[in-house]
Amino acid sequence: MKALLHQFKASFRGLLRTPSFTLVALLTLALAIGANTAVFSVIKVVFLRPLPFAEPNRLVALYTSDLEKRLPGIRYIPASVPHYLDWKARQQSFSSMAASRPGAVTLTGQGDPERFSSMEVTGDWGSTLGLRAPLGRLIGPQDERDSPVTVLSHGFWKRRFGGDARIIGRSIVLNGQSTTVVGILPANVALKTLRGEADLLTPLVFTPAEIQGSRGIARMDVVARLKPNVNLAQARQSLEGIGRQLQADYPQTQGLGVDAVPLWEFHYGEQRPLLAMLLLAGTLILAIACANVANLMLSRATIRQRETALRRALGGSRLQSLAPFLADALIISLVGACLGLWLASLGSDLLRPLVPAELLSAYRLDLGVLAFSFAVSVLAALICGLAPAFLFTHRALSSQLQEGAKGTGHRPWIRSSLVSLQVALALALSVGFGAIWSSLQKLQRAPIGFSTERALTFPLRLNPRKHPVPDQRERIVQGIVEELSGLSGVQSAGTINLRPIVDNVPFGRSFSLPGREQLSATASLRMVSPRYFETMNIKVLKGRNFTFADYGPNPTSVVINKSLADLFWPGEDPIGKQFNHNWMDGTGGQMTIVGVVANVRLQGPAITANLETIYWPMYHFADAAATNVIVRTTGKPMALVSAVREILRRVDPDLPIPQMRTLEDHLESAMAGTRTQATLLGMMAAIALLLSGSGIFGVMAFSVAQRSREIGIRMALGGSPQRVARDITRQGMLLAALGLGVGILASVLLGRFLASLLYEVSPTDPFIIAVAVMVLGSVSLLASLVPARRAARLDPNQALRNE
Amino acid sequence: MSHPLIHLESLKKVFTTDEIETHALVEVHLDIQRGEFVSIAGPSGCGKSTLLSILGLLDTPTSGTYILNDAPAAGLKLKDRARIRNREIGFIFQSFNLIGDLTVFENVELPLVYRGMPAKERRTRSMEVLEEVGMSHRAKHLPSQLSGGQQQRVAVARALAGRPSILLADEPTGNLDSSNGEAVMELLKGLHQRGSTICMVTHDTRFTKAADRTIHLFDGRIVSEEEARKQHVP
Ligand SMILES: Nc1ncnc2c1ncn2[C@@H]1O[C@H](COP(=O)(O)OP(=O)(O)OP(=O)(O)O)[C@@H](O)[C@H]1O
Ligand SMILES: [Mg+2]
Repeated sequence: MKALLHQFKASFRGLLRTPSFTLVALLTLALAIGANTAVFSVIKVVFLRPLPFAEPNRLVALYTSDLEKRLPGIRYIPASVPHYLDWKARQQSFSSMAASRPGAVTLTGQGDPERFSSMEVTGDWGSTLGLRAPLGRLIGPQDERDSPVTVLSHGFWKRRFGGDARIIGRSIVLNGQSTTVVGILPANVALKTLRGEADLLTPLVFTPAEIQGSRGIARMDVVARLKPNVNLAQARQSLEGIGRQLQADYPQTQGLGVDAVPLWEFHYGEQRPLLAMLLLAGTLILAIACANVANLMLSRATIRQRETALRRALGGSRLQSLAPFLADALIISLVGACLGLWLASLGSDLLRPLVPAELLSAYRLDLGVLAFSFAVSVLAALICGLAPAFLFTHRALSSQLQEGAKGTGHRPWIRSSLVSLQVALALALSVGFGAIWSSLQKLQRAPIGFSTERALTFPLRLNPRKHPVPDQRERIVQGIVEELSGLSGVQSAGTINLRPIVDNVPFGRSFSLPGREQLSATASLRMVSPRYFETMNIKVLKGRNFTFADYGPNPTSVVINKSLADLFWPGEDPIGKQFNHNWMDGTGGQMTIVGVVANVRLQGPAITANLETIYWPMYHFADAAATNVIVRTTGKPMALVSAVREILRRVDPDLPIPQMRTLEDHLESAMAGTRTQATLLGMMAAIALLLSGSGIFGVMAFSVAQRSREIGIRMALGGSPQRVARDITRQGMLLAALGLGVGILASVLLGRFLASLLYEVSPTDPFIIAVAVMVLGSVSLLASLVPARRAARLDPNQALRNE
Repeated sequence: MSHPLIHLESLKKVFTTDEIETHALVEVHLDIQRGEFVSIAGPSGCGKSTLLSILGLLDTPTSGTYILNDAPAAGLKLKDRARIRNREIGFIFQSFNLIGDLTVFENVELPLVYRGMPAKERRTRSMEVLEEVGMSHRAKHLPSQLSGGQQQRVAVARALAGRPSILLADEPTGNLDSSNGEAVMELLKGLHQRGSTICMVTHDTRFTKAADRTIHLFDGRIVSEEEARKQHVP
């Protein structure tokens, strides 16, 4: 024990005596440990935290499955009301099942009217999740009948009501209706909906029209708890049967089944490939760093090998002679871990966009992260410390002591292969980064089907209690659109129920053609105002745009997009064709196609598929009493904000003032995720590049320093400085080339991890690989040129004199 | 009469370190004829190694003239000096100076590699000289696997491989015991007898006898020259 302490002291002194070695080793490990710690802190908060519900492993999300893959890009299609009720009635696998859907409420009577997003939940939602309200109670089955109640989210309660416990039992005015606050949700429960995080819960009560309504795509999330004796596979199997029955009972739902995923997967599954990629990148960086530090240690060991051998000759065991290296490695990696933690705390802000909003409060460098960091650093120390051990077990004592074997005496293949390994890993990382980056470029250039410049947009939600008649609301929206169009600085204005890319919510219905019922389709449904297509610069390809005459209580004309035209009428002119629709309160009707417009990326730029779309001549989506306004301006869009507000206030003083943003701004946010990925991977690739460059430099510089005598001999024998430099450069490049070769293989293997994150880019794109090879090759060249030049400048006479 | 292989005139070498000037060589005049075996003797620090380095184009004189093979050495570019070292000069060092990472054979062929000689020719030539020093059976060994005497024999073979005009040996027996030292000396004597020009630094009076001429250096000056009283082999 005392000897151990002594060893650490000695190591410490030794490290202080070689500051450049210590600094390089420390920085290398700090970068690697920092990067890994930062990534781990995200993984921990997203993957390693149980959902805040009772027995979360038994909770599943049910969703409408897209058996015919008609809606690519939508992983989980929300359920319709009749489907949900049928699932619930027919299933036997779950002890309980509940539904929720996004809603919106306007809070009045407390200053200016304010708009909040809500989540409507069925009475058994809380009991299904096993939730308890810390204050008051949750929404219960009785609330589906009785007077209006609401439950506040913890954050909203704190934010809006100052965390006042006396709020329970009080009334607030929601959507013009007096509503009793009955409870507060636990702080760690977030109300995740398709529209973001909701602030409060309200009871979900199905209207008779909904119960009889369409079975297509709707808006309900369904959660269920598995019975104790049923596992997920069994439940899915029985759901598949229910899906088949329902398709048989309701032929128009052909292609729509029902499936279940663990609730955790439902919420956070999408993060998995990204985090897996980051974890992989972190591991690669750690491997590169370890190789680097192991190399540095080996260099040190080589310098001290005679001393070490002497110690062993004097009777020290191998372990004793190794102790200095292990001690060095341990000190460096632990100090490196501290530095790394500090770097990680700086880096954690960069990773923040990867953490789902509701988990941000739990996202920090806590004890678990500390433990991880510590474990990583001990691992690094072992690897770095064991590398010299590996070398020494392979060398006979006598040859290390022997006078004649100056310099190395062994072929330094370990150091060389460590360098090649670094280059290989760095190449794999760089190729990954290249692929993500070029995917981002492609995304930014991808045609989206409409133009985003000079466009202001905002949601418009009318209060259905104040304006109960849909036609009346339709006229209000029309009035607003017309006033906006007349505003100076406005080119054109239009409305749509769900904006492409901005409102990333699937919404559609199935329909079929008269006489061709076997060919049914699920089309996205959009309600647009007359000048919507002009405002968005969406091309009318065939037929005509909507005119004012198309609008009215029972519209019969529709515009479809090119995808739909190609699907149902390939090679035919769809104008004037008719089809049945079975949406809108379950009533059917005949629709006539009056125009075909170009495809638009509805679900975001990353989704290539052009979903079949039907445009419906309506100013607003009657069910939701809502729509979204788009204003194309002649000048700066944001300059019009106050004028727009003025109009809204004039039309209805109770209208909550919506947040206004430009379309460009929205598109930018849609890209933010990919951009964050690219930035992160770019940083990791840069670290890898830096580390492997310094690895090559270190090995070559050390070998030049170590072999200065040999270089002197070579020069005495007639090697010209150029020749000597060339040989050394070639040696370095040989290592690099070997690494690059292995790296190409590695990046092909690792490409699979990336594929799901890429848009129209192959993870093994030859061009990207070529560029990465060139960049790494140049770095390697530079890293070997510097020591080579140093060798060329060596004075042979001097080198030969120095013993 | 033919020109001497080496002609030195008023050669000076001054080292300046930390403001202190060391006059390692002062006014050295020296001619070495082709086929001569010259030994250089003198106390430690008198400038023997310095002289040899300058002769071997590893170092440059501070002033004076050095003419090697009718060509003045002054003003040569680094690259040309390297070429001349490669073709005209063979070095034998006290501490052998074999390259530890290369095998015996690779060490010997290295000067030929620098000359750009084809591999096949290198091979025959290297094996020839290894044969000559009696080390051909160790061609694949690493230097660390050889005894000191064996290593020095390999070093001699390496110096010979390029068929240089002159062999420069700085205390070639200094690190060897007497029997190994004698063996290496026998090797050099034999080479001399077959026509090689040799310039050797040695302390050992036993070995100076082998030379045609011994030059005594003292404080950077040649203080005396003595011809060996022995018969020249034609
Ligand atoms: N690079 C150098 N820098 C400074 N002084 C030097 C240098 N090389 C040689 N000297 C000095 O020049 C003088 C001659 O040195 P040299 O090595 O030629 O001696 P030597 O005769 O070979 O001695 P020894 O028999 O001990 O090998 C010495 O005083 C030495 O200190
Ligand atoms: Mg000397």
